[in-house]
Amino acid sequence: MPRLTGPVMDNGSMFSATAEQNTESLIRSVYSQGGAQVQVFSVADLSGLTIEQASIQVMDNWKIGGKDTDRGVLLMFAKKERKMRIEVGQGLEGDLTDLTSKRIIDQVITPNFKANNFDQGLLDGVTAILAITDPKLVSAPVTRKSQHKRRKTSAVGRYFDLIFIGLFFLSFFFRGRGGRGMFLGYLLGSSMGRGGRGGFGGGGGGGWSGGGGGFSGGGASGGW
Amino acid sequence: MRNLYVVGLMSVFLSGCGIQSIPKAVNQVEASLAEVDNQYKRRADLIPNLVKVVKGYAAHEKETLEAVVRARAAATQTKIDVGNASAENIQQFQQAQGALSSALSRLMVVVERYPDLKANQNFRDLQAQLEGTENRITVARNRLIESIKEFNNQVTVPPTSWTNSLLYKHEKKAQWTVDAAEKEQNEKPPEVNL
Repeated sequence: MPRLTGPVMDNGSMFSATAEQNTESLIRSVYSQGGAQVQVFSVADLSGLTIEQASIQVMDNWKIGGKDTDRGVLLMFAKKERKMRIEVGQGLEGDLTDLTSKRIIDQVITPNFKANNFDQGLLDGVTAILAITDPKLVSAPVTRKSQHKRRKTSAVGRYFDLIFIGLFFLSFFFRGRGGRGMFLGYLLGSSMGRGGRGGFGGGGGGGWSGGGGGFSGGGASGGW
Repeated sequence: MRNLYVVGLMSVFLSGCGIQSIPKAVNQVEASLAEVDNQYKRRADLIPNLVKVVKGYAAHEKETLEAVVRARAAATQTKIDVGNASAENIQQFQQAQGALSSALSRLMVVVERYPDLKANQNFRDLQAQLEGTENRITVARNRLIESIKEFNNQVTVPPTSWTNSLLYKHEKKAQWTVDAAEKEQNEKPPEVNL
């Protein structure tokens, strides 16, 4: 079992660094505001297990989500088997039901994956999950049907507004606590790519670990 | 001060000998069994709607549908007393749920012949829920098997087994086994008659 190192662990090398980073900032910003803890995990292959067996094993190990709240979600991908699964923590089963999870897989992620838009699928998928678990913090992604007119806009473009607003508020937060110039730091950090992250402690690059969340097999699986 | 030592020593002794861990293992088995029961109930609750939707498209699959309804009725009547379930009680429960599982999978094979039904949003939603529930059942069963194993270790492996034979006198529990009919279903792919 690999060690938990961050919210997006692309062990199967399915996504671009930019997409990973955008997803990671989204996950971290929601989590730091008291939202659900989402974990993305991709593997090259499942070595004979079903995706359901693998995902529950992973969560029994990492225990994403708080011990009492159990608000953890795993979005797992298996590259070779072309399978995915949303594994839902016990505390979220009422909001993110098996049916909702299935719809996110079928209507949000799979169409993107089938069109080889893995990055878009990842970001939309995570956004859709967070829009259900924390509707006050995140709004649902634009689905394909309504998306036709503005398909050309890139992933960053579409989420830039959201990230921008989030960072704007965060910058106030940190300024209030005496940290000066965090906002600029954030902008630089996101434009500098992967290497730039570590430097800005406290804001986004902090530790990432499971808090003892419980899982009992809720969620849905799909393939592309 | 001496009292404190005694308490400290006692707690070291007691925590290793099973006086705490055996009752804990019993509670764990009961909790896991309750969870299995709970997830089977969840499945039973989905079936009436499923049958209704399938009937709308495949009314002349009467036999298969009736088999599901009958198996569901039998399964909901076979209750399990989580607090003190006897071996026979558990076996009956397993058989009833296993029969429902096979009736359901036969229905799902039949459904393959009705493309309109498979495209129906209601049906797809129910199918997603049913798949989710089947997965929960699998997870709950695996956890039950683990907890029974832990309990059996506690009552058969020394030193905790000595405490058990002196104090608690629990008997080893029968392991949860997949029902024979269900096993057959899992091992051989269902036949599709075209």
